[in-house]
Amino acid sequence: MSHYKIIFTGPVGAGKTTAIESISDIAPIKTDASASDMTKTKKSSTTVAMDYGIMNLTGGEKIHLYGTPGQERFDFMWDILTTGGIGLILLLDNTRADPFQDMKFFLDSFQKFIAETNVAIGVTQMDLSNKPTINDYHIQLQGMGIKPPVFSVDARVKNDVSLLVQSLLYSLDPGIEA
Amino acid sequence: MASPRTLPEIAEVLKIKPQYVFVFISSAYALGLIGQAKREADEIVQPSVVKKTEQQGLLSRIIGKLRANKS
Repeated sequence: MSHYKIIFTGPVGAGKTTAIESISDIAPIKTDASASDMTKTKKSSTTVAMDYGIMNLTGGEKIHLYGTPGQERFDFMWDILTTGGIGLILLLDNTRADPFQDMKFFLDSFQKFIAETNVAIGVTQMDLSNKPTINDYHIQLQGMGIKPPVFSVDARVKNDVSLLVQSLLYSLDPGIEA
Repeated sequence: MASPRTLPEIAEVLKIKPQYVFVFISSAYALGLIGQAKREADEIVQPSVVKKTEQQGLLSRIIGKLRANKS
């Protein structure tokens, strides 16, 4: 029986935990703690180690869904979590002060993993803040010389998260036959 | 007409309703009298061949699972 991983990352409050909850077959295992730092202005609890969910495939294979903690001081976890991963989902919160800076930070931090696999970007909270637009993200990414899929997603909606993961899989291999 | 045209363009040039063009083209196509236009670009710009990868079976199963779970 084989085991594979999909990694969810992004800044605090971008919806990583919720996105994993949306598509996991088990109640996700969370390692949340009460927020004590600047995070508490965004939400009352936050992920300090990782989130974990599972998708069970036919034939007994399991896809492990790992969410990284959002705070930079836990970045030592990121290398451990990405080892053996098949791709990266980057979630960005459009209401944050500078989502482009967040995007650059995470794309830089996971540069090696992305080069070996691929990334799909989901922009959350666009219902609360519609600027920057998806097109603005594409322009920024063009400047960085990469062309990942970028979608507006609601992490609470299973179909939104599902489409984002599907776009990652198709960018990994455009020849997939479903 | 110097170059291949779409069906709505043909209807516009001939000043007739599009459905007449569609019926005529469909009938002629069924009889093998006409075919799709071949542009020079079709031969110059070939779509790249997608290679099968080891992961393809796995990725297909994940996509299948995600689509089955749609709600």
